[in-house]
Order: sequence, then structure tokens, then C-alpha cells
Amino acid sequence: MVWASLFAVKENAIGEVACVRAGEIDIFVYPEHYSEIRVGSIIAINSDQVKPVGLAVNIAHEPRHGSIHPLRKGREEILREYPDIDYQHRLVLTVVYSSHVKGNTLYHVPASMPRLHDLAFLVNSNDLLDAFFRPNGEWNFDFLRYVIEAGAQPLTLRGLFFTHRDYFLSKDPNCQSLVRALARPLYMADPKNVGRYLECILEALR
Amino acid sequence: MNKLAGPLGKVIEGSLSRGLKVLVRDENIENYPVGALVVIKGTKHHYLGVITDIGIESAGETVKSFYGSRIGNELKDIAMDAIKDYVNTRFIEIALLGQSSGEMPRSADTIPNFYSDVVEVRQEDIKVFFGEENQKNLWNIGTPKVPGESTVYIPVDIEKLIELSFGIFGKSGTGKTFLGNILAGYMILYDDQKSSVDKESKRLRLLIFDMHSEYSLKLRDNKGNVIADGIASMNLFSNKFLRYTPDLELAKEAGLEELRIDYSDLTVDDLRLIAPIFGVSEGFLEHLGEFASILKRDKRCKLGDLWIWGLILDKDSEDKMMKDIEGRKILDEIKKRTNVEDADKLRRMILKVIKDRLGPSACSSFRSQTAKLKQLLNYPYTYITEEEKQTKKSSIDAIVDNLVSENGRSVVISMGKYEKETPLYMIMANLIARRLRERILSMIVRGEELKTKIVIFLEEAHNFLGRETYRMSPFGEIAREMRKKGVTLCVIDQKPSELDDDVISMLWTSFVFTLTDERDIGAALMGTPRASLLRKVVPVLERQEVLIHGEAVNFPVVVKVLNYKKAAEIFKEHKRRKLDLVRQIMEQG
Ligand SMILES: Nc1ncnc2c1ncn2[C@@H]1O[C@H](COP(=O)(O)OP(=O)(O)O)[C@@H](O)[C@H]1O
Ligand SMILES: [Mg+2]
Repeated sequence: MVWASLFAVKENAIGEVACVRAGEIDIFVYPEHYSEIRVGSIIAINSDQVKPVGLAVNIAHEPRHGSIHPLRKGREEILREYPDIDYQHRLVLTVVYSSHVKGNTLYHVPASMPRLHDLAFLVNSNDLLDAFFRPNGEWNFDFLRYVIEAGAQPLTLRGLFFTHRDYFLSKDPNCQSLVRALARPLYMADPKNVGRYLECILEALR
Repeated sequence: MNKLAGPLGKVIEGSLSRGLKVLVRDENIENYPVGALVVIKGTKHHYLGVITDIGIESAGETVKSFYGSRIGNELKDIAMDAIKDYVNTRFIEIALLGQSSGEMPRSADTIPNFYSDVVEVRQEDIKVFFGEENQKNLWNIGTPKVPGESTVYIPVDIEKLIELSFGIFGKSGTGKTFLGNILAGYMILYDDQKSSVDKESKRLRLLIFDMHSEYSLKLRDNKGNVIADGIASMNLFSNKFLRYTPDLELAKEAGLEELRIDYSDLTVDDLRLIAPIFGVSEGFLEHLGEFASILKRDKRCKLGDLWIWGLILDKDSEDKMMKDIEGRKILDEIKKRTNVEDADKLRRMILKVIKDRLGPSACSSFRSQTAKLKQLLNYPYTYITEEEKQTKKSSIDAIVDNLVSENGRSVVISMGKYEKETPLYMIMANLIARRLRERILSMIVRGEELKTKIVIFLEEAHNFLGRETYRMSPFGEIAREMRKKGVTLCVIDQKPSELDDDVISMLWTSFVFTLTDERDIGAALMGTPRASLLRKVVPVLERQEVLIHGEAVNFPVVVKVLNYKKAAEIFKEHKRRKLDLVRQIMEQG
């Protein structure tokens, strides 16, 4: 049910699909949602049948017209003088396609690709985070295997966990069940660096 | 035999000489003890193997990345626990022992195909490879080590065992003496059984040198508490054994025969063997032969066969000897021969003769070193005069009579309170062995054949068969030349590397309890196929566990020796059944 209600109000979308590559989806983010988005955000896309879900691993701001003119002003000044400046830019979010929702169930495996202009939604309520991180009532970090495969470094994961720090700590203040669940997917993804990954994750939660 | 279902693992690499490497399926590597038997199902043959090594290989980089990271130890442990099944592979190494494809099993000379199943040993496998107890030549010695619980027994071929000399080795407190008792019991049962079907066969006699009175009296646990009767004190075998002891009080208390030593039987070599234990100097030993011949034959001494007394007799010794009836007899005899009235005078005279003939330095060595030999006065000695010899037999002769005659008995020499007196032990053993050998040789010269088969149990064998002692002790000769004449040795020792290599090479079966010294392990495994693989097994054996290899078993095998009490039950049960049989036959006839 949580997923259906997420997609129910299209005005809640934070952006739309701008580009699809193998394993990665670029999302064009609407300017009014810039501030909500960061590395580590979880994005769900309302495609026709399966709903791709993934983790934001990269954010790029770029000027719409190829280059920017230096302004030498503070942010407040800029907004006063150019209230629509954000619309002169675009913000592109790169999401690693690691999971999908079918019916009301989430699987940590990619399925069919979204189409351009499919609407993207931010997964951020506790219910939704539960549905993503604990799809069967228990921690499941299998999506990290795709994330690391796509090139995420230990620091990328630090961002992810920092973004959802309050959520994680509310569930597991001493991190034991988290570590137990993280070890296996991290090992599968990169056996030589399990220690490094865990270290960065735990730093973010400390 | 155990509850593990399916194959234990798969053969993935290896060779006959290096052993096979097997990946283990079972998650719990702790189910696989070194020394355990397994069966490998090849395509053509079934193989018998023994686990010689166990291991875990881990993805080292993962483990390193963990230990290099700054994660709390508790969380580290949790994470490691979560991935341990990915990080490690469990393997065992197996030495191939035998192979069988339905026909008689034989030593392995092929290896199983890649990815063959390794499975648990079943009762049928044990029967195929080791045979089954028949209470004739084959008798159960214990249960084999296997992964899991074992309920089958491995038999030892007693007939082959006693045909040739054999060894029992292991550190102190591992089970040598208990096993010795069990084997002795089986030997007697074997002989009983054989004599009932083959009246012509040679009767078996045991001669057991029992330092700690564990065969003749009680077996004890490592704390000294009595556990059970030794084999020769079991009611069951009371008519099979004669027990002798130099401990005269014990003889009286427990009804053993007295064994006094007649020092006139000792040779210069005998003395050479024990003298170092008394701390006698090298210089003295170099002159010992000359001292002896002077004491025996110099016309001023003329001690003859009482020459040893010439080494130790002085005022002190005389006082001591006067307190003992045997001592007085010896003093009388010495006076008769030397015409010297008191011991002091005799001592001075002997010193003078030695100085005259060998010079002052030999004399001073004699003077100082002979004091160390006075310990001989503390042992129970005797002397049988020429007249007495007509009517009286020495204990040693009586012992030898029993061993070589058809209606004699086996003999145990119990040291009693002298259990720490290695010199006395050596003197007695050497005297008995020499007399036995001489008797057998004289029988042969007369064209007679030895009518018995004799097995000599020799505890602390390095005293007799060590590299230095081997050529001086009569046991060396017995080991070398008496086998064909029907005398073999059971060599028991805790430091097999101290035995002469010749001795080791004469042992055709070995029972090896745990040893840790590399040289000891090497010596104990000499001559075994795949010794280099089996040597890994020896240091990890537990008490009462023994690696048996050689003639008496088809294949090397690690066995947990029968509990002695259980063995005693078996002996009794066997005897009872035999009596029933006799009764039946009597009733029918
Ligand atoms: N077959 C056995 N049955 C019962 N106890 C045994 C057996 N073998 C060894 N033991 C135990 O181990 C101890 C040492 O055995 P023992 O034969 O005296 O060792 P060793 O002669 O090698 O010094 C014994 O006192 C006994 O407690
Ligand atoms: Mg012992």
C-alpha cells in the first residue's frame, strides 16, 4: 500500500526520467525540490508496470545554456535580483537502478527500464524507508551490491547512511543488527574492502 | 556409525604420496579429528583413508581488511560471524591406506578420481578392511577413530603379533601399560584356544618385567588410585602366572615368590651397564675388566665368582651383611677363599694388589668409586654354594624352567618397593634373559627344540636396547638371534628414539601412543607406508588412543583402546564360555 500511495499524487513527484543507461537512470529534478535531494536519496519511479527504485549516487548542477556568468553575489542577493535563477539551471540526479516494486512488494533486483519522462518520487517517510530497507520486516541491503558494482566508494555509502541516519538509529541504536545485515552484501560486492565500507558506514551513524 | 547424512566431502586434489585434499561439506569442521578413518568411493575401488590434517582456508584479504579497520571489536565479530561461511573453506587431508573393489583389500596403489565422495566408515567397511574378531587369531583391541561416534571394533591378529617382536611406545601416562595388560590377556586366551584345537602346537609363555607392579598387582590411574587387577593377579589367570619379586615383604604379604640376586652371576658387562646410574667414573669403568680378573684370580685374593664382593667389601659393608643370613653365608665363604679374617684387612690387601699390578692412579680410582657401588648391598642378594647347588635351584633357574617347559607357567617379575631402582631392574632382567638364552642355546646344542613360544615384555626398554646398551645386554642378542627359536620381545618405551635403530627395525608391529618429539615419532613410525603423512597423527592422539601399524593389523589405524575393565569382562566371559563348553562335552561323553 505504501508504494501505491507514494505514486498516487503526481504533484509530489520531485522530477522525471531524463536519461536511461544500463543500470543507471538520470533524473531531471524540478527546481522547487532541489533542497530535498542529496547523495543517498532513494528515488522511486512510477513506470507503467514495475516501479524502478534506486539510490542517488551523483548530483550534477549545470547551466541550461552551456556556461554561467559570474555574479559575485550572496545567495540572498541573487535570489532577490534573479528570482527564477534556479530555472536557468538544471539539476540532474544519477540513480543506480538496484530494486523494483511490483504490486506492493519490493525486490532488490532491477527489472524493466523506465521510460523518459516517467515521474520520480522521493522515498523519505519512515513507512517507505521501512519498505525499502526492510522489505520483509528485516534489514536487507542487497541493493548495495548494485550500488557498489556501479562504482560507489565507501564514502558514497557514508552519504547514504548519513542521509538516513535518524531513521537507522531509531531502529537500531547500537548498530548490531545493521552490521549483521550489511556484512554479507558488502562481502559479495567487494570482499577485499568489507572493513573499509563498514567503517565509513559506522562513522556516518556515530 | 554417525548421523551425518550424505557425503562428508569431495576429493579435489592430491597424490598418493602427499595425501588427498578433500573439501568438507559439513559446516562444523570440529567433527573431523585427525586420525579418524574415512572411506572414499572411487569409481572402481573403495578406498580406506585416515585424516592426517584438517584446515580452514580463508579469504585472507577480507580478514585483513577487517582487522585493519577501526570498527569496535564487538561489531567486527558480528560482521565476521555473518560472512564466515563465505570467507572460509574447510578441508581435510587424507592419507590413503587401502583399496578394495570387492576382492581382498590391499595397500592403496591408486588414487580415487577427482570429485569422488568421501563418506563415513560403516561397519561393513571395517570388516572388509580389517577383518572381524574370531576369537582365534583375531581379537578386538578397541574402536577406530571416526568422524562421530564409533560402535565397531578393530581386531588385532595376536598370532602375527607374537610371531615377531613388537613395540608399544608413547609418552608417560598415555596407556602403554594398560594396553600391555590387555595384550597379555589376549595372548593367553589365544593360547588356550589354540591348545584346545591343536595339541601339538607350542604353548605360549610370557615373561613380563613389571617395574611398577602393574601386571602382577594393581593397575592404577594417573593419580595412583587402584583401577583394576593386573593381568597376573586376576583370579581368572591365577594358574597361568608365577609372580616373583625382590621385595621380600611384598612376597610375604601378597604371596609372591622371592627373587634374590646372586651377584656371582653378574658379568663385567652387566656391571658396566648399571655403573653409570650409580655415578661411577669413566676411568673406573675402563679398568673394570682388569679389576675383575685380579679379584677373581690373583693368588692373594682368589675371590672367584664372588669377585663383585671384592669391590664393595669393607668394615661398613661387613656390619651390614652380618645382619642378614645370606650376608653371613657370603662372608664365611669369602674368608674361606681368602684366608683373611676381617673385612678391613681384606680391603687393604685388595688395594695393595691393585696398586702393585695397575699402579697408583687405578688404585685411587678403585678406592673412591667402589663406594658408589655399595647400593648393591641394599638389594636382596643371595649366594648358592657349590654344595647347595646339588639340591637347591636358584630362583632364576626356576623361572627359566617354567618358561621353557611344556607344563610351566608364564612369569612376571614385580619390582615391588624397588620400582625406582633401575639398576636392580636391569640386573634382574639381564640375569634372567642371559640364563634363558643360555638354556635355549644349550637345548639346541643337544638337538632339542624349544617346546614353548616365549614373549618377553620389557618396560623401559631403552635400559637394555638403547644405542649404548644394546650391544652389552643379553636382550640385544635375544632380539637378534632368538626370533627363529621362538623368543620375541614386546618392547615398551617412552622414548623410542633412544632405542638402537637395529632394534626398531626388528619390530614388525608397533602400537604408538602420543609422542611429541620429532625423533621419537620418526622412530616409532619407521617402516610404515606413508609415514610422512601419518606422523601428523601421532602428536594429537589422546590418552588411550593408539596408532597401530605393522603385521598385526591389515592397515595402519588409530584405535581407542578398550577400557581395561571392559577387557577384563571379555576375558571372564570367554573363560566362562569355554568352561561351559567343556562341561557340555563332559556331559555328552
Ligand atoms: N585401556 C585403558 N582403560 C582404562 N584406562 C586407561 C586405559 N589406558 C589408559 N588408561 C588411563 O590412562 C592412565 C595411564 O595409562 P598407563 O598405561 O599407566 O600409561 P603408561 O604406561 O603409558 O605410562 C591410566 O592410569 C588410566 O587411568
Ligand atoms: Mg607404564
